[in-house]
Amino acid sequence: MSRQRAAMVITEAASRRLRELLARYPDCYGVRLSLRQRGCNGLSYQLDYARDRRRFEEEVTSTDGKVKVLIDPRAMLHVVGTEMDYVENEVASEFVFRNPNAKGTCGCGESFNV
Amino acid sequence: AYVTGGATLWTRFSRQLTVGSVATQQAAAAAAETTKRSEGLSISVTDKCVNRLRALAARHSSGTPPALRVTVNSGGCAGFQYEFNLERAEPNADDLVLERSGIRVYVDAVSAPLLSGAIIDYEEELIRSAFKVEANPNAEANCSCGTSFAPRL
Repeated sequence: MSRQRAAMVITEAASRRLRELLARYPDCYGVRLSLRQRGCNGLSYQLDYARDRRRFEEEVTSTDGKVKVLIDPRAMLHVVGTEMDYVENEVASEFVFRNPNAKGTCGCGESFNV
Repeated sequence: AYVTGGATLWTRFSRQLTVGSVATQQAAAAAAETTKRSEGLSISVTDKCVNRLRALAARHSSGTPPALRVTVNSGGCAGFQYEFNLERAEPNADDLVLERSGIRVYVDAVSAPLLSGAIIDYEEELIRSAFKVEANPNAEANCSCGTSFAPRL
């Protein structure tokens, strides 16, 4: 994979929702994506508000150029090539990650293994 | 940094209103059995759940908030899973109907005992916002995402 290609793709829907959320926290730089050892399938995604960019973190800008997502260096290897999207319906709205590295996911899609 | 004040936990729990009431329009014969089965069933609905259903009213032409149906089905990685649906129709005769501030939550007769004592909430997090069943005393184990559980038998 060439170095120029973005580590992750952030869809327009995800970008719109992130902007909505970040508008409440004007001092935030963006959001941070990391992985936790949790869930019935090994790893699960975690999102946090980020005030600054830390050392060795990869910064990904959304396709529309409006939001920044920072990727924790320890998560980088597992999420490279992932598409981050936002899906919404009346009972639930959530960020979903389409990860080509995942060999399996759990039923609810919250955790995965590589 | 989520906005969770220190004192919110207590207020959240104290504000919950226990509103278990069996649909009263049941036929007398069926009522005896249903009442017995529903005795002591109390399912709580949080403010956030009520507010979310109110907010959904605006999306519908009638302008009335939908009812939330909570069902327990088999499935999920822990055996049983919770399902949430919105309904505009009247409840079925044997549904347990929870009412709070003009908002209704339907629970069918089979699911109700498995939800007794639980709290129905709408959780808003950065990564996900969704209806949720919390603190279910009938669950022995929960899966990490909270959508499925293993019942205490």
